Amino acid sequence: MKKKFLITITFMLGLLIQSCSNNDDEALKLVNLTITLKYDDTFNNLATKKSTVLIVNNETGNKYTVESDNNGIAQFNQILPGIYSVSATKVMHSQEFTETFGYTPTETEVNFNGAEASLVVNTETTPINITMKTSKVGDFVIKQIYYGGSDTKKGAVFRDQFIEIYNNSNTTQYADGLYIAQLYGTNVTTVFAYTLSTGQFDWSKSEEMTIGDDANKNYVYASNVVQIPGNGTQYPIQPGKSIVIAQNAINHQSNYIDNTGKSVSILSPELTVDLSTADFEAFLGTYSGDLYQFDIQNPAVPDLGIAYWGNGNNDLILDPSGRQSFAIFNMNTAEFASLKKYKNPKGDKNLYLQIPSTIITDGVELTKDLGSGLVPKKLPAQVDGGNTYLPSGSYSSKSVMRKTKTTIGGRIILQDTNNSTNDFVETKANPRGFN
Amino acid sequence: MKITTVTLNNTKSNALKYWALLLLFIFSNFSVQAQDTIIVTNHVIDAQLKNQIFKYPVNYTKKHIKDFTFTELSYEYQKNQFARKQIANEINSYQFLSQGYYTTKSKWNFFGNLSLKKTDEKDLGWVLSDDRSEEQEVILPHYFYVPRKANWTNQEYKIRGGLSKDITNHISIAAKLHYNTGKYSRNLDPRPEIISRKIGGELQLGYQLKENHKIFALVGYSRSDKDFSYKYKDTHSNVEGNPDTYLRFNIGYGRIINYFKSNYYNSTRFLYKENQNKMGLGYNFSNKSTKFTVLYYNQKSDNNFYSDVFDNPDNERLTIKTTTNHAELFALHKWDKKEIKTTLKFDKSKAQNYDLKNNGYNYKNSLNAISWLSAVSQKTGSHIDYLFGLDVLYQKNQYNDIMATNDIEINSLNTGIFGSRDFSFGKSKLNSTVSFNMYFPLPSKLEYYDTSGGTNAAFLNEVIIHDYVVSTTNYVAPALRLEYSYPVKNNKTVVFFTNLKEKIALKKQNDYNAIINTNTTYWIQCGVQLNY
Repeated sequence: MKKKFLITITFMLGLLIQSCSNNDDEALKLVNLTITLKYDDTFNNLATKKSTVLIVNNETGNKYTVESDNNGIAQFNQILPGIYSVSATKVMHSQEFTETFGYTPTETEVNFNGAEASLVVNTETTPINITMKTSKVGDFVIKQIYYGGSDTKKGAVFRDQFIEIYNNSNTTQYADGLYIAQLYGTNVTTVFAYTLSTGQFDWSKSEEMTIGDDANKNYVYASNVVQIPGNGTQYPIQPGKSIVIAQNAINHQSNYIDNTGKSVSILSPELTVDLSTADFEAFLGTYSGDLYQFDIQNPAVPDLGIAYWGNGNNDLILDPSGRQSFAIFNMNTAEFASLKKYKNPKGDKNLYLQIPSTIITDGVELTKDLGSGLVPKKLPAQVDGGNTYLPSGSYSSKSVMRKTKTTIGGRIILQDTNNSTNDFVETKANPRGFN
Repeated sequence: MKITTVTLNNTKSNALKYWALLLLFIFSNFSVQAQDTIIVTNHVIDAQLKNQIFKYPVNYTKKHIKDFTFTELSYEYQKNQFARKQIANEINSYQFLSQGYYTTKSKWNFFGNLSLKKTDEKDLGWVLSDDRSEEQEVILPHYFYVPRKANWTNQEYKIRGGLSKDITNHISIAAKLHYNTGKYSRNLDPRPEIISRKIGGELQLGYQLKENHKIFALVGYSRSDKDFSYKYKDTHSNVEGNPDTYLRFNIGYGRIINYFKSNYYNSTRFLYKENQNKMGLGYNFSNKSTKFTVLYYNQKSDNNFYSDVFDNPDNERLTIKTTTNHAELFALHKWDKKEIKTTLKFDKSKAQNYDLKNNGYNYKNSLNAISWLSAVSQKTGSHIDYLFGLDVLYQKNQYNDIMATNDIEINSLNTGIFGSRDFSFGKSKLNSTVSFNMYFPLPSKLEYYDTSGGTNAAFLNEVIIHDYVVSTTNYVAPALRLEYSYPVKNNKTVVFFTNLKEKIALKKQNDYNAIINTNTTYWIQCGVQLNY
């Protein structure tokens, strides 16, 4: 008995000594990240010099900015390991463009953008390459998106949402026929069998899709598309002027009667906006045959055309959390009619309109936030190299508005680097206002 | 010529014999006035002994302990002013506590305690877990937080029980089991709800080497689960634009990340799971007047954070691995009506927090403490003629957030004296215990390099620097306990008691200009006991 006991004690002592042994795991280390930027094939894969590269740590929100050197290398030193979103922007003036590529562009400024999502940065990360692309240059830009709405008790909830489109050129532009698309995708970065590594849908896996990875690279997918009416010259927009497209073109700061005859009281008018002078409004009652309680028709404001309606909403309701993105484009009726529709790769019943990204005049990528609410990108980097959001969140009376770049002869020129991280700020919703 | 070599083994063997004889001589001299039974009371005079009985019951298998039952109802109010940040401004708690020790005719010893506690905390910010920085200088990572203060309502239920017995002339065993459960909730956004469960046990095996001399071993295991969920009534408040209520997560001590998403169906539910193993050895000497215990144990724990409600390894995101080494010496000796008790403890623990996504540890701490508690007393029957004691606690603690980056070292010395005596009034008596503690911060440091680009500045200024300043400020803590007891029938005694304690800030011993509240923190407790 005594012997057994001693054996047991000896065994336990052995375990004890074993358990005291040191753990040789390593501490996390700050790491370096090398990003090489090159223009795409169209520009002979030349190195992108002096491009602003922004990386955002998706877990912490930490941002680091570096300018690429003459070899197109952006070197980030001593950054926290984690998962990053990368966006690179190069704004090239015509003189630099001519010197670089040997011919003169039609625009005074050409923007190149590149992006990388969900980049894992740790000690094992190798240098990465980003291709910088330019996109179709348009004169209209999306100036303001008021998707957040206003207080759910004292304000107008989401009924006062609007989008503002601005003529950023120096010549009169016609809004007639312009399409405005609500873009669709996944809401979270979680990876599933039907998504890409970024968490965005892998549209190549959609039913009846035959174009492989091009379905992800060269197209965006819209749940709804509305169109400015007109015969081509009916809605001229002067340089430095804009059009406001309202969900409901009424004065949301006043009480009113809804479509069921109920009184809608606004307790805090200062939280919402007056959209009675909007240029256009979305009215779905005629299109769907089902009149929504709050889809108020203002006869004085022209209705938008409903070019495509795929999600079953009964009004042009923008996601107050910012999980949709927006694009504007021009296309003739026949071309539009030829666009294909697909289910998402999960196989849900709704169909989404496939739009070539090359025809997009302007697009703005929205996200809920940069942390756990990060929404995977829907737009290609050349359309929007970054994203924007409302730090104040939904129902905050805030909108994302494009920054003012300069004023020439009384005409305000808005910043348009095709990177909404740089170009947009949060502000109090203000139709036709500036910041 | 033959050369005789004296072996080293023989020399060592003789030395051991001499030491053993010396020890026996000392202990035999202590064993003068023998008593048949040790009476344990519910008073600070017996706190050290009671602690030993409940913690290391294998050493108390002989019928030395008189059966006892202590039942207590108490209320406590705590006003925290001079205090660290992650603690409520005010705390009201109500507690029911019962303890007992019984020996059957067949010499089975049963013991246990039961505690039910309800706590209302007022104005607590910067932490959404059930940890508080009251006793600990820095709470362990893996917690959500918002700066906004709010009230908490907490309930804790703890039950512990065990048995011990000599199963042969040489071998004794003891087994302990415990089960704790708690529920914690907060009344303002974000509204976390925490439900915790902990179950564990410990086996102790003793072997009587010879009369009065015993060696023992112990092994323990416990596991705890904690379900954490939160909800916002006003979801708009969980946005960057509202930093006071924007949910964030502390992954170290200063390394702040945006809150985690739960993988569980877009819910806000998470799981904490902890496994703890303990192994140790000890020696005990015991006769009728003297007890002497020396022991050592090693404890390891893994505290895992899962971004889900299930403990699937794929969902494991962070883990804190802690190793603790504990050595303890307890001695008690009685002569005439006098008694001396002393406990010397040494604790050394190391913890590292592993970020499983980034393959390495981002936070570590090293906690070292030496404490010594001694008391000498004289009793006439159950009457305490006097009790004098002193306690000393030396701590050398380091906290290092490798990614934040901060490096903190807090060294301190806490010394105290206490005294107690009874004043009899016929059958009833009044006991008064007075203590006076003084806390001295020793040379310490706080080094911080902000890698967050300023986004974590609020936590640095409001918590890290603030708490460092509090931890490096001198204070004194006088306390008074009054007990009025009178016997009722069947050898039962009813005790009314009250505790008053203050923590008075003295001089700041650091260079930081952080403004801390130096108004006095105080406790008031009152309650009633039924002891027999």
